[in-house]
Amino acid sequence: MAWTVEQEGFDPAREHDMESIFAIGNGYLGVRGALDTPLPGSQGDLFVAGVYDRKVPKRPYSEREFVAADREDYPYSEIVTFPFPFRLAVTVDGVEVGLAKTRWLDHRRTLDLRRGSLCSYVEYDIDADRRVTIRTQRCASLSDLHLLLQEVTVDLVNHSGEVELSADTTDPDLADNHPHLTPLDCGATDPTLGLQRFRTQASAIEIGIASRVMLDGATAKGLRWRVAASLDEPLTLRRYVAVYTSKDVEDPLAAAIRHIERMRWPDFDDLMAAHVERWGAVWKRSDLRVAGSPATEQALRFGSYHLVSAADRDPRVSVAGRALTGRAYEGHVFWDVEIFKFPFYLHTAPDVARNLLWYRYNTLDGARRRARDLDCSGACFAWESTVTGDDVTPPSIELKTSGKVIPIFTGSQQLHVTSAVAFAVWRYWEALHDGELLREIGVEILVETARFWTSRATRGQRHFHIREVVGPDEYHHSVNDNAYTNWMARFNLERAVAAVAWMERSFPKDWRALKRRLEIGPDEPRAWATVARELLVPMPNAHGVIEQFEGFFDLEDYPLPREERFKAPISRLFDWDKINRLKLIKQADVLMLLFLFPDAFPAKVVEANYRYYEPITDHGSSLSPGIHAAIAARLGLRDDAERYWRESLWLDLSNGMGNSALGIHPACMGATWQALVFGFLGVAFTDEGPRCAPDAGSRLLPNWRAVGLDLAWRGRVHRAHVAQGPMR
Amino acid sequence: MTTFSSLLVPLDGSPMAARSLECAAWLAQRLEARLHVLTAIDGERPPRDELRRLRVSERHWPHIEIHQTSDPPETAIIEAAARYDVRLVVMSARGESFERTEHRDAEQVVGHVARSVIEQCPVPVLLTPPRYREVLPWERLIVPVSGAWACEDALALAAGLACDLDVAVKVVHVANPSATDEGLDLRARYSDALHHEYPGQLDELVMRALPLLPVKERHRIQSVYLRSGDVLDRLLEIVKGDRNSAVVVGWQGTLSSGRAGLLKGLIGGVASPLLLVRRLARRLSQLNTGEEFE
Repeated sequence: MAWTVEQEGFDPAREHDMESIFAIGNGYLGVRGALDTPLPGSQGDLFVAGVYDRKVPKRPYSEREFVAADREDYPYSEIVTFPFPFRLAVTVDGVEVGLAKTRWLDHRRTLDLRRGSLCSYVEYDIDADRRVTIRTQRCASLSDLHLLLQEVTVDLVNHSGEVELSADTTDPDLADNHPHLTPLDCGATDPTLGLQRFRTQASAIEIGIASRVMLDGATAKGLRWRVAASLDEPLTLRRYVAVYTSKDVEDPLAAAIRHIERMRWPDFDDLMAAHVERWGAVWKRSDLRVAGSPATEQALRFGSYHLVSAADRDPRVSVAGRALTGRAYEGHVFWDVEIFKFPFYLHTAPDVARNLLWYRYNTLDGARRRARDLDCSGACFAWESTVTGDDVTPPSIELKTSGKVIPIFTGSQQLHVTSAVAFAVWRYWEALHDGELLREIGVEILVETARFWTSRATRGQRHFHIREVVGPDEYHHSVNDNAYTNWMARFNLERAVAAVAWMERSFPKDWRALKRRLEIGPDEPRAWATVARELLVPMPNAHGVIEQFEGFFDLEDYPLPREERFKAPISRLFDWDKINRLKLIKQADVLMLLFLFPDAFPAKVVEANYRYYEPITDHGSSLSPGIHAAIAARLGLRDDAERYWRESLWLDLSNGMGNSALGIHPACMGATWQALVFGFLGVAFTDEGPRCAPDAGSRLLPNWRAVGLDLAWRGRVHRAHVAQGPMR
Repeated sequence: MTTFSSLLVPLDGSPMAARSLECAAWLAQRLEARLHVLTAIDGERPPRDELRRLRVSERHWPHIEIHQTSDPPETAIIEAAARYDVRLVVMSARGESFERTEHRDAEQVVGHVARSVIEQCPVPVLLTPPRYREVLPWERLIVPVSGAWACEDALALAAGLACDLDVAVKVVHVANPSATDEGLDLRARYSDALHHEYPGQLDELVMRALPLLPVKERHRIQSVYLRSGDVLDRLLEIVKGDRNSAVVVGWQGTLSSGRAGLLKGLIGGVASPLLLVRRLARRLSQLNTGEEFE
């Protein structure tokens, strides 16, 4: 079981959950795991990384109630969905079969994590004399990012009859289901190919989708077949789908046709083998082994599967809030990329990590515009980012039927995304000593973000302050000197000073060119250093507790009921101003610092802060449990560590999660991975490589006999292995 | 074929019961459905005499198939529903026997016949409540959704019926901060960005009810209301503000004392008819993950 995730049975109301969980992807393409013969309400969306369009009003039902302000003009507001590319209709003796239409005896949908493919098996019982089974497999090729593969086998179990198959993917409700798309003429072409050509409305991106479908032993007449099928002589259909956009090539449809037109029946096996081989290579560097707990291995691999499926090597795209598995978060990119997902890539696929940094560099102009909008200099990365780096966070939302307006402060105040990018640049540098990346883009990012913090900080009597912000705990807005924000800003400023010194020393010519281009004044690095030195960074008080922001300790106490933990009651939205006055936090905030900088504080301080903040955190964010698990594990608080670990590990796979229908939670998967690596194993990096904490064996959960994984560090892959040890 | 191809109206001669017939006749005409009337009497009367006794307007007589029975009414209604392939029972919450009852439970908003039918009849029941005010034609179906399965079944049925009747569907979700049952409150675990998550959750509350419906039927959902506070109070406000409506309510369980408080509150509080949809039995699926599968 540790290499598969399997659904048994069928419940139409849970289809959207299943579609997220069983999504396939290769970073460029993502397809939700809808049934091969989908239901009318299936959301078998195809996503193409980086293809966004203007927000379509009234698209989902919620838009009839929630109205987001100021979203109309930007042409890259939300990710675009395309029609389901694996759609199939199967008719046996005139009866169209499908889980919602036909009596069925068995249905299984299985995500094969090792092979990166989704398989299904269904047995229909049409009537007393006729049974039929359908097996399918599909993948988004990891060895050919523009290619999707599907194989379907129809087997008449106890009779002979006539089978009709249609592989037509035309969506008759295109305008409703995919309103961003304008269909374009495909021209006169080979009738045996399935062709679709679309243009997005405002962003004017063109997409070409070409498919070649073959039925073994049958002559193609378009994309439909009617054949006589015999007992024990299964029919097998193979489909090759190629997808290109005008972001890739000038004529996407022509490119898609070229890609598949010469594909023949046997090619499928080779293409599938190449795909599986690539997944084999992926697992070689990113697998985690947990001896004694196959369920833990399964869930960890499920997380790694989705993280790998989410990221491409295209420097123009990053990993969206729900990756390429759902429409939620509109495909926007948040700070969680750098803080929660990035370490997974950094230590398993550094080339992907590198491109995530390039994405931020490619959106630097948008970040500069955002800084200007905030009356600052330098660059402030978007809280919600898509293509250009301009922020797409709405300033407010209105509940239309009641007229209630709810301001959204994150877009203007949640600034720590900027230092998160700088933090990732530095982590990349530390992990790879890749002077090339630092020289090419890293220093520029650090300089522009340092400029931002310098201009954003205000001088007080003794210190610089950063006022009117939202920290990771989003329940409190307009706060001053948020410990996390200020600490990270200081880190950003200090690393900018170090980076320019390094560049001046290592690449003097490039430094001079950069200095000229960015008009870096001779005193600027000194000014950054001054702000870093004099910035008020809240420190532990007499009890060892760091105040989350100025005045937090004086807020009204809020006895957090047990039932309100691990969820965010809607009062958090409706009563946003009241919540702002309470000692109640959404997610790790001060604890983020303790997590990211494990050596910065003595254990006593870590424990004091954990004891203080943990009981007042409602974990309204999927990012929170993993961080708490990590810190609890470091502190030897085994029960807490286990409780939070389980929350984080099974967030999407547990039946009670509630919102995975909208897409899986890749940042939570990244947090889980980090909880294991940096929490339970306590991995720290030295010049020689990763080292597990000396007491790591005692931190392992009781049913883990041993944990092993590989970590990339400075060009080498290092093996980490920890066996269960005596409890502390 | 329409959602309800055959309707059954049990009548007992009371004015309250007769009002349900008007509503049923309108529905039957709009849906082109057969209209059965059932009456429980000793012996058998000429149909016209019986229809007159039942206070049925003569203009409806040509469209009615009348059935007379001497069985106890609750049993007779359920049996007749099966015998005549009835898809909807239309009846008043209280009939003649309720008015004759001397000792009534304070929360008893329906008579014992209606209660038996609501609890036992396998098809939906359209109930004219004690405060019923006839406003025809309907313009909207109001569907409260909570995230519970029964509500999903009700919403799916409402969307199909709205298509047949050419009316709109208004979905209402009231998030009760102190509720512990299913709903947006519970589903919205890990609301990483509230302004994304709650709209998404609201969508899914609606969408998960409609996996089998074609786009045409889904289009009937024209407004989605989100409210916070006491569920019954908010629902009553919304229903009272929309006179040309029927309320489609999904429910399960029984109407015994202390149960189904929200449903009883609605029946007792609204003037619009209530279409009660009991949760359908369904096959479930499971994900083979977690330690129990090791």
